[in-house]
Amino acid sequence: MITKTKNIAKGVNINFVKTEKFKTNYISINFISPLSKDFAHLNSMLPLVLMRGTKNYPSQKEINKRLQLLYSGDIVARNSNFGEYHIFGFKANILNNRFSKNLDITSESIDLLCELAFDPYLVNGCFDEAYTEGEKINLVDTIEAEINEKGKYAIKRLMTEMCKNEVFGISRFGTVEEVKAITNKTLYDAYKKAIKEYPIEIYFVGDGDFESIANKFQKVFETIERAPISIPQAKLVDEVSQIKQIVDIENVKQGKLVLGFRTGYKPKDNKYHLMQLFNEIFGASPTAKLFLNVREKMSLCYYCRSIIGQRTGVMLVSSGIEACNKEIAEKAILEQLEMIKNGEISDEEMESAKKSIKNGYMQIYDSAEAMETWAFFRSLCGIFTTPILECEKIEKTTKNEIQALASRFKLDTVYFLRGKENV
Amino acid sequence: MSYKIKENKMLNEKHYSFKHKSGLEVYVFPKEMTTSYAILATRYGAVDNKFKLASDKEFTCVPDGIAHFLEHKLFECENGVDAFELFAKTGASANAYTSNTMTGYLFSCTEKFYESLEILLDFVTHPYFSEKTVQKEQGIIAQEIRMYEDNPGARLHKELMKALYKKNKVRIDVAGTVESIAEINAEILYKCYNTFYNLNNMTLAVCGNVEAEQVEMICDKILKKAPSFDIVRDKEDEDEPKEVNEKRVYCNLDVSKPIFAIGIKDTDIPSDPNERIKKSYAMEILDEILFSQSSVFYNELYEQNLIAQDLSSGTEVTKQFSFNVVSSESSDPELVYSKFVEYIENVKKNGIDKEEFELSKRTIYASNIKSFDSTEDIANNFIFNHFDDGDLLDAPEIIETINIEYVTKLLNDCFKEEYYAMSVVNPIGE
Repeated sequence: MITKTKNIAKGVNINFVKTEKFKTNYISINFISPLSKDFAHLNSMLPLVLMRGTKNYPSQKEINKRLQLLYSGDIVARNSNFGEYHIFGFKANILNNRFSKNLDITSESIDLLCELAFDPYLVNGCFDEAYTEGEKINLVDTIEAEINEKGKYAIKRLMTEMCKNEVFGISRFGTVEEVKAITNKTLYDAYKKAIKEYPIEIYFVGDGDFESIANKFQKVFETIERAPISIPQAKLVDEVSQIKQIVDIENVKQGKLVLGFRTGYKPKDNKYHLMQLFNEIFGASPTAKLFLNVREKMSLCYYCRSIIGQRTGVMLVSSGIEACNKEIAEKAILEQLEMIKNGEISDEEMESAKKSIKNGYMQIYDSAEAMETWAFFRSLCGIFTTPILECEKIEKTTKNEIQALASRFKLDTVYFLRGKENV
Repeated sequence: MSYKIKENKMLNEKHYSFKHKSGLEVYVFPKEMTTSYAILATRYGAVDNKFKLASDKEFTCVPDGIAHFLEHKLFECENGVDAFELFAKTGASANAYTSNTMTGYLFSCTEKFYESLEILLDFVTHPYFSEKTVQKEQGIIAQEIRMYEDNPGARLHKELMKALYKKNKVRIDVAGTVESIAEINAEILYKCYNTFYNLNNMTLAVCGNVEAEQVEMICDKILKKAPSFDIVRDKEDEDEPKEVNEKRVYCNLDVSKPIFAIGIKDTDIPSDPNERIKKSYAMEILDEILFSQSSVFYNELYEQNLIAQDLSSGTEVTKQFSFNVVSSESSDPELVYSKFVEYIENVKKNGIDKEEFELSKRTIYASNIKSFDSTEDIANNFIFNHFDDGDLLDAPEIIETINIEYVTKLLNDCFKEEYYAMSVVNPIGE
């Protein structure tokens, strides 16, 4: 997948995926920090405040004008967690140079990206107080607005409860109280820490000259002192002593049921393809067991799907149902899992799932962003592979392997969000 | 057969087209991508709730949400097999969607394209509805409706349409209501199917590593000649007043702070399709000038923490309806509204800045080019434009013709207070 990788400073790599099929280029700058209670809220604030102003473009208005000039160069903040990694930075989708007569869009966009990340607008050696205070309010709003999307909210609540004693239970946004307690000073200190200590991965997917692009980024780091840390790997929990039952009551019409399972999966085993194949058979497609039974046969829901965590080893099942059907739905979901544990997978199910996964893998080659995500997140697990190679692994997988994988799955937590009237 | 070819050299994109003898229009976009995509669509959506054949005396009225219901049910084939199972054999990823004015059935795949195309054409042209399967679907769709009832964005939009329009059928919710879908039975489904799933009323668009000759061969194999298409759609919603129906609409949901959408209603819809495309992109340019992160309005509200990070704007100009929406979250939507009115009047008075116009036009021009990087986007956007009698390959040149005078006139004609309405989703208890 990655054509070339170059180390351009201590703990800083630039990765190049060469392709000429797109009308756009995709560039990202990613800080990789350990997800932690002490820094999650601060690290989530950083891209927000950095997007407010750079040295040469000190306001959002000026940054956006610059982006317009660069042919709608969408530069957006990135903030996500991947297991124990908290990843933040910027990603850009920019128009290929061939659509402009007199502007080197690629080069100018890289300059702007670098300025956003490494040359912020400063007042007396610190961020602009007004920007920091404004973004604190925005981040508090973001945290409070998580309840607006009930499906996602229910999943997040399950993870918080299920992984209380693990790093995966930490919200990357932090809490409202933690955000309110941020000062301009603590935030700027967190920024200095980020540019000095966190590993940085830069991606360029598209059509451009690798050496000149790498050199451009390398120049930026000549003036930055680096002492990168290494991020400890989380220890995954396999065992369940007692199944946790959590019920939240809110003003909702539809009940949201989420089941959380421990799978025994370890990222370093490099067997993610097995998890994906299991997921496809169980609950990630319109021919999956959950769809065919809980939705089509029992008519209990519009959606009932399974989701697997590539870093967490947690498998979730999420569904929207009438609150009175909670017990029936839960039982039906567990029955379908039991079938896989018993090896009740038809040849057709196996073949369909393989084809579907391979179809999804091959489609990665048609999106610059999907290619970056593939390469970046797998490299974080120490895995360097391509969709084509993974297709071969999928092809060779047997039913027994899926059964053996599923046999280790244990229900850990049942989360239910429901309306007041159903109490 | 010889095909019509249309090409846009700047984009380096083209399509081949032909009218198949069955009545179906076919468009093929060859593109060197791994993923090939096909969509078979009919000009039939939520708005089509009253219709008749030219020979019928009376109009037939059908329950709200039936086009969407039919879309769900069509996947079930007569032998009890689900179309999804058939696609599973070829490895294609299939889906469907229903909007106000159309229904589309689609798949994407990286191999065995023509086999999947056969499945698509076959299942959409072979309906099977029974009372038992209809009942089962009522439970599933009721949960889909429930899900949207809890979704702030969906509620905001649905209420806004009711605020803007008095008669226009864009008011009708695509999924219907739990009550309306309970009235659906197999007989009504067949009536709707036989009326609107006439191949003369449908279009196939494919994009990817595909050839027109092969597509035509599959059409020859699967499709039978359709009877002539002669339906009358009820036009009782045509005399829509220029002014909005209600200035304010509210609903309460479990949200953290109020969410608002200001709608700008436009009843002056050009009859020429290219003029509609022009108006649509000009409105996007105007939105970029007025509400993007470079705008005075956005920055003022943002700095006062009156709106969330995103102030989104969107526009839709089609032959059936035309409106523009500006939305965000705010602790005080009324204050945002009054600032909005004041701001627009100021821009009208002072005029649009030439540089801002040029930069915004460049942005919209570039976004349009970017939409040609995916076979799925190309085919879907093509169908949308085609059902509105336009062609997306004309868009870049049409955008070029938009000048500051045109956009200024649009601002003066469309942005008037009698055309504004606001929909607000408030937290429960407020």
